[in-house]
Amino acid sequence: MEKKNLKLSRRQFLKVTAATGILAGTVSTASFIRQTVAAPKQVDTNINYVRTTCSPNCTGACGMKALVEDGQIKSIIQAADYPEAEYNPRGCLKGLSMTNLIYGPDRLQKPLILNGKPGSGDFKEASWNETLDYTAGRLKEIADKYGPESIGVLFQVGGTGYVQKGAVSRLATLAGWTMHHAYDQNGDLPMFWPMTFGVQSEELEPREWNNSRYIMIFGSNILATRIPDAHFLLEARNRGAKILAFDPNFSPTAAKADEWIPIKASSDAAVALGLARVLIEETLYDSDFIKTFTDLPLLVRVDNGKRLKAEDVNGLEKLSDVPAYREAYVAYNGQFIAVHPEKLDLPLDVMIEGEVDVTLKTGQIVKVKPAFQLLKESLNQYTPEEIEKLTEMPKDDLVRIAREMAGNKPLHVIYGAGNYQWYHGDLKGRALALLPVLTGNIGKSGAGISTYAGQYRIRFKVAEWWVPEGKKQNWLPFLYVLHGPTKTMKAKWPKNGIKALVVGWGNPFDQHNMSNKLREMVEKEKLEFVVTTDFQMTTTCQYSHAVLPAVSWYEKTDLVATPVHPYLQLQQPAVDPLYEGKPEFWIVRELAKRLNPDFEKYFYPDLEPNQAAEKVIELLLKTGGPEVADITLEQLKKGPVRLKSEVPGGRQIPFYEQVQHKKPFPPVSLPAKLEQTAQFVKSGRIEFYKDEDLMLQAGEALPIHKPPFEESEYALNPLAKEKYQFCYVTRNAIYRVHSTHSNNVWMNELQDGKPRVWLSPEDGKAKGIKEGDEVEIFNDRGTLKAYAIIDPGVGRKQAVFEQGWWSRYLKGASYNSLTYPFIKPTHELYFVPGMWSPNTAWNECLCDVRKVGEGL
Amino acid sequence: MKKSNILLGLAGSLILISLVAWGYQIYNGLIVTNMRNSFSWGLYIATFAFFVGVAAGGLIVSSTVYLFNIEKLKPFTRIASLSAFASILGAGAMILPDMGRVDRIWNIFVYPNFRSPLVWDVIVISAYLLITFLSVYVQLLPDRKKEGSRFLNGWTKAHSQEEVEAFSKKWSKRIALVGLPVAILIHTVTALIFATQASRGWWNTAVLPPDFVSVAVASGTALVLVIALLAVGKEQFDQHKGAFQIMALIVAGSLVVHFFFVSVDLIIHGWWGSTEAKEILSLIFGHYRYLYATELLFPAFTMVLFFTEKGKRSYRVLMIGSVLLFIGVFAHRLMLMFPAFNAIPLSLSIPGAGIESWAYPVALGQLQEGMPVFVSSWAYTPTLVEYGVTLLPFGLVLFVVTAALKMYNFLPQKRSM
Amino acid sequence: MRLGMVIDLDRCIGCRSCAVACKSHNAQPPGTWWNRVFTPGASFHQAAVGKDGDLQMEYLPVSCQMCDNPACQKVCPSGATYTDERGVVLIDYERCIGCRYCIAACPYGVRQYNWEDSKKAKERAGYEKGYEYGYPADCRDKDGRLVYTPNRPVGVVEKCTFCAQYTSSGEQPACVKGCPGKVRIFGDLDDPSSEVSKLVRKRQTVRLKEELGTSPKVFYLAATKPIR
Repeated sequence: MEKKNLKLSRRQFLKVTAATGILAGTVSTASFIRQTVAAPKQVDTNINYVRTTCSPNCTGACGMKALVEDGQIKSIIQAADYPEAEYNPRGCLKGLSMTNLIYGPDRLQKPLILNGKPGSGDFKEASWNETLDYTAGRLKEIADKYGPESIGVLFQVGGTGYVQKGAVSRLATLAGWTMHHAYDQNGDLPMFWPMTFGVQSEELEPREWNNSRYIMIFGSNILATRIPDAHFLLEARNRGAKILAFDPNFSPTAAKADEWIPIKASSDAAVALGLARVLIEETLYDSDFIKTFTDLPLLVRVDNGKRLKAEDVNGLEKLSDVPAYREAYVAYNGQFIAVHPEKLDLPLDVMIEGEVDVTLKTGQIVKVKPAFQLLKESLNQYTPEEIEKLTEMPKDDLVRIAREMAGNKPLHVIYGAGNYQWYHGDLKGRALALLPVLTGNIGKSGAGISTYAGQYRIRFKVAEWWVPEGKKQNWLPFLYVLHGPTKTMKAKWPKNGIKALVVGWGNPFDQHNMSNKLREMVEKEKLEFVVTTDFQMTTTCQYSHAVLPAVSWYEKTDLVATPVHPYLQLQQPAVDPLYEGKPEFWIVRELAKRLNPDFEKYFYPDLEPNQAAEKVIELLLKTGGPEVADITLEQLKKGPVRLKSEVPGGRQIPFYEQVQHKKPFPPVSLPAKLEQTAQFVKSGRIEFYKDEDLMLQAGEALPIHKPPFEESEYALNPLAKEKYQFCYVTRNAIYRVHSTHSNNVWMNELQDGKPRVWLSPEDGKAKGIKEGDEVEIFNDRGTLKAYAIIDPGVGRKQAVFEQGWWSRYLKGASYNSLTYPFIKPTHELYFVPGMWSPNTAWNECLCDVRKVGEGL
Repeated sequence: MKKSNILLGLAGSLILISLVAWGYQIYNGLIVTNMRNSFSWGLYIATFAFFVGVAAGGLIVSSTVYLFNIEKLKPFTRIASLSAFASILGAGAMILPDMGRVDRIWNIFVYPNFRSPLVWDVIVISAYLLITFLSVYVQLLPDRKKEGSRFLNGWTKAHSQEEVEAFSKKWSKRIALVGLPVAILIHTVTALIFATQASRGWWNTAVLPPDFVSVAVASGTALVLVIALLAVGKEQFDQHKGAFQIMALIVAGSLVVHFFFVSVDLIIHGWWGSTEAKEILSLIFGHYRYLYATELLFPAFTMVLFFTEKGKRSYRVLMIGSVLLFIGVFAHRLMLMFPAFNAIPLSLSIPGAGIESWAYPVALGQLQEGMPVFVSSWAYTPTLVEYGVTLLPFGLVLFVVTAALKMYNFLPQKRSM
Repeated sequence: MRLGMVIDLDRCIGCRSCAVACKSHNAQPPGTWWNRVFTPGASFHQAAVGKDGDLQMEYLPVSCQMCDNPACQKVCPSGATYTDERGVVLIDYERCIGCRYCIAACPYGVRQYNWEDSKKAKERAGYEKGYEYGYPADCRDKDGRLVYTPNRPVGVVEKCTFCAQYTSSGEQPACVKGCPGKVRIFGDLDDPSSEVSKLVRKRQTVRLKEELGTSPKVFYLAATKPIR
């Protein structure tokens, strides 16, 4: 705020400066005003602003400031204090209306102990002591009876609260409980990432979108799901980047794109493979790039489909400095070359097409082909004509777009959850990754492939706080809790299964796959005890035996850094905890000391929770590694601080190091150790050829297109093909962050408080459903009622439901009762929590719709 | 008179009910009405406009007497003035409950905004109230002197009965002549409240003020007719037949003018065929067709009846015709509201999608479970409270007329003037 | 000084954050919205408009258009609605008599009435006892007229004030601060060097219902995108 432009009374001036001290970013807010003499005056009050970080599970991590008066948050506005003005003002309608949740009628006031049946809402209010004693007692009983690993812990996304969520991890580790990683629990883990790049997931920071020239969006509705970042997309477009939205539905994002290409549901892989075929047929690919950074030059044995290992080839020496989790494979440029998995230095004359014979050490002579040759052969089936059949995308468009994307660099592919939350989502990602990789669009500004859904990547080392020294953590993909163990699973199944759940920051009894099954498990006492920490009375609280009232991110101290943007920020208490709410840290500490008096010392027993949280932040900053090097708590209190990166300017460009400095793939995915993730891409390269037995058996050694439902719904029940022809698509609306804000009064005013199902006019007509009619969406597993919106932008045979509604708005049903926990066998090849793990395919679900009530 | 006591009792209870309803409304706010942001004027304003309309009769009848020297009507000038006074009092009273802050009504007088047609209306209605009161007062002076009434009559003590009668005669005429333009003005200005608003296509027409005048002449005269019929009774009907026929002719004649204006207005709305006009026409001939039919057909029927020789001469026909006209005029006032408020002013065309008119939803101002907050139309039907409050002017008119008729002689039939 | 706003529809993503920021910072009771965002032509916000694959979806935020020729002000019988020295159309909440003539007059549907006691309406939403949202202090103009108060009295009309409580001390209105798309630009139309003036001068702008001659000070940049 420029003082010279203001003529305020001294008192007013002091107030304004105090108010905007935090607002360092908005330098020019007052420049529009030249004189305020004539302006209205406001009555003086004691208003102050507190900056915190909005931290629900969108992971947008937007800096917000609370207008505080009289110990109450009166309003919220974007802090707009990011040093790079492009990022201001991050925030959205949900964040702006958090006051409705903080002070709303569903706010938990006191600790609760279940009186009646689970789900009945019959609780008795109890003291903290009584509830904590009861909870600790029950957990101890269960641990004694079934083993501590039978207690499952859900704490959602670490990046939105390293301190408080870390405390849960710390206690779970100490107590030997089993943790369920939210990334796979939520179905957000895009499995192509570990398969192709050996990482958990990566993304360009949104500011980099401005540097793209060609942006292809597959099944991502940035305008609704990344509201604070959507402007970068429009800016990119207005700077000349071409934006293409591939989506069965005319989404808001499609509407703003240069081109909307409506494709059949779950046919994205076919589009990508068709494009890749054109790139290869017309030699539009970057040959040097693929030779240097990918496994495409590596030789594959024709006889067994396995990659040729250097140690097996006659005349090649076993490389001595190859770590155990790597493998040296072979390439050919007239002679066989043992390819060092940690050096990206293959000669550029290496063969990528053709076939040679190789003599193995055993004396056997086998035919080998470079993976590129196999890819090319595999792509032969994806002719433009065939793609038109598979996807309904006109063949001429396919060829044109392939040429355009090859000629317009940097190319960025946005790989959305609408695209990958399907049974074969991994194949789509692998196919789509071909586009930027074949064209050399990796590791460069404005280039690459990014996933902006999920966002679980931990940004710095957390072990010092999350994992007490010398302790080992137990992890189990949550899908198994619902599905039951499989024979092929790599994760360890607790010998008595999961008997209790410790839930925080989540609402699995509405939000998770088969939440009706979860409810049944509680009702039938298969889950003997559920304790939930939340600040609101969610459906999950209703199904819990004990409910521990926590606080929102306006009432506690924490540290936040998610992958969507590169800023490290604080949550800071704007007001004291409401009612009897307590920061999770305090709850964990109290629980810990009741479980075992020795545990208390791990949680700063002498400090008040906010002071303790600051200590933890200091610890994390000290031990977090290069990303947070030299960042101090004091700095963070002044405002957001950009995380460090190896990229000049600290920019967030995935694989920059690998491509610019020829470092082997993968970069580290925290908190895993390199050896855990490097085993996914043993060649040290971007891998398109996967030669694990299961991959070969599934016919998925190379990215291919597989139609939806064949291996899932139809395999489960062949009758489904006839009976259920609608795809049940659960997408995000702008009014909720998953199930958070489901009860936000203003959000519900904006949508008439009614859950909706979006149908195409054709389907509406066929089913006799008009706008506003009450519709039942159903399959053999469950039913759900919603009100119809007839939208000409919705593709045929789709029932699009906007996810996140609490059961109370759905007449008690969970909208997730229709889904099924399919486990794709290839996702069990390895197990690294939240990195290579079976995860929910929300959209792989068939249903039918029928009208049950007349609209207004 | 027993009959008048019953009527006074009825009037009293109407007033009482309305005051209770109004009190309830003041306590809870206008939320107890069914008006909302998108439909912000309803039964109250329609009723107000109705009473403004019927208030015209008095001065039109009396001034006709003086202007055209129609002696036959002379016996009814007192009733005419009384009906005008009562009606305008009712209109003025009706407007008060429509004000959300009736406690601040003085702001209009302290900070009047002279650009507002509402302020003009306050001025002309106040003037009309005063004029009609004076008209009644002056005409009653001689009788009251005779009775020796003191109230507001003290000054006549010093004068002889003849002097007072001459004064009454002279001033009755003067007031009637001054009152005529004011009578026309109250309709013009009331119509201008609506007609000035370019945002509402249904109102925004120069035909509205003259049409209001024509309807007012018809309905105002009809009210005089009805009160006169009631006052003279069937027995003495024949005695004043001539006067009733003239009044019937005035009614029918002004209805001809009214229908002329209506036709012109419909042609102008319809001919150009703008989307806004089409929307309004589809509302009046579609959703509101019954109400619109009432507005058109009832008065049309009255017009025909009153033109026929037989009709003009029949007590019953005159009575029925007038009542039908009142219903029609009331429908007319309601129809000022429905199409105007259900055609959202902010309508947009989206040429790319072939949409010519799309109404931008308005927030209702109320959140109710299961109801949308944003609407592009609002099915307004008055609540019980609104009906209750609306009884106020009816009660007042009934009370004033009955009381006056009871207390004073409004039909000096034995005397020739 | 003539304060005005430019709304860049090309940048608008229809997220309604502006409407929510407005609602919160101006303490609007349930059912009242000074600022709305809809998808013209669509039956539901963010549904497609058109048919047979020829579709469009554009958003239009509408709040008080701050007309230079404001019908609402002209019809107001008690002078409660007035234009201040900065060209901002305001309502004196202590002078409004609640006749609602202005609601009938406004072509934009922005005026909202307090059909009931706003405090009561808010209480029904079930907030913590004693909690009230919105900017907590009154704001009066230099003549002492009450142009912002967190709970407008029952029976008066209210609407967007360009956030009198903020702009009076040089801050931006809440919708401008709250827009993540940087769609809204606020400033002095009398100052030729202000961004709003430049945009109005250099870009093709649209004003709503311009044919009514209301001369709004809110200008829209069309939702054009390059055709290529």
